[in-house]
Amino acid sequence: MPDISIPAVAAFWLGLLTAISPCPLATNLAAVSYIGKSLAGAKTALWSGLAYVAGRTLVYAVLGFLLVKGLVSAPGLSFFLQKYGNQILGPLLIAAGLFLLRVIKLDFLSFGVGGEGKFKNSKGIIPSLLMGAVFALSFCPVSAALYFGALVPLAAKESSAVILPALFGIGTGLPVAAFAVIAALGLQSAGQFYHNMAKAERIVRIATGAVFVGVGAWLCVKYILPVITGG
Amino acid sequence: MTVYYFHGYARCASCRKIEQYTKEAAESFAAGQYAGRVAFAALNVEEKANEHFVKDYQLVSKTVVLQPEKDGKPGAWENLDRIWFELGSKDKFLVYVKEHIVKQLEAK
Repeated sequence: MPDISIPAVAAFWLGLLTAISPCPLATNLAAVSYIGKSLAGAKTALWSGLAYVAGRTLVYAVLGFLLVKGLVSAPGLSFFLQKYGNQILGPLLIAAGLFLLRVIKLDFLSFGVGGEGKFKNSKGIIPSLLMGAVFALSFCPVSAALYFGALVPLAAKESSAVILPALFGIGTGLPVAAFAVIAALGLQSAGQFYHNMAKAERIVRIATGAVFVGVGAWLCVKYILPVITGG
Repeated sequence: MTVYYFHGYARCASCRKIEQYTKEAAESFAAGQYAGRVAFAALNVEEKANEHFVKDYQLVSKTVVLQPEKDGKPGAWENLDRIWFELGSKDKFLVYVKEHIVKQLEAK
């Protein structure tokens, strides 16, 4: 165990604990499959992974600032995000999955600017950044306990409204980015093996879409169904 | 005193474990010198009637709160916020919760 008496190490460590705890496993899985799906290689996955980490870091830093400065109350915000964050995320992931599966086509997005091409040229950086931000906002009991219950009090004590929460964010995202790069390396060699990048790309895209729909459906069952059925 | 376990509608494996261990810790006081002094309650804070507990106890997640009583009035409560770190070992978890219950019961 690292020396958590150093606040920066403790903040990063709390982030790592969040990343490896079982509750964000579903969204981590979706993130790894999306970031790692790049057949363009590990370098693309690395940029996409770093964008994902940046998205998470940004959210935790902004929330940290608001909480440490006392602009919002931790109990209210924590329960609000735990409840509604996950309820929104389920349907959102299903929609994103159906988009990847080409079941829904958002042609209007490409209107006039060749959106699809632009989207591809960005190498998934913007979508990964957004995904990181959205996933960071969907708190589960463990991540809420570690962030609101341990990290924020530490940041308040150290008068570090941004740096420590940001280190926490980096800790929550790094393992996911690392796994994604490994997955991309594996896929790259698999793609070369089949000598058919177009076909490999299609298979990987469909697999990623299926993971998104699966994770989204699971979140719906877990977070929306109990509210409807009363527990 | 009351040993509260607070949860929401969505339940997770770790949360059920916390509830089960905490209940076990509280019920271990049913006999012995503290018999009849420790009650356990698991409450859903997402239900309207229980929402006030979030503000009362400054809750940020599923957690265990000890609410002692002094002369029939509620005393200073304690949030056992280390439960998430002690969850790896059932023995350690039980020791942690029981120690704090005893500390509260012995407090003057």
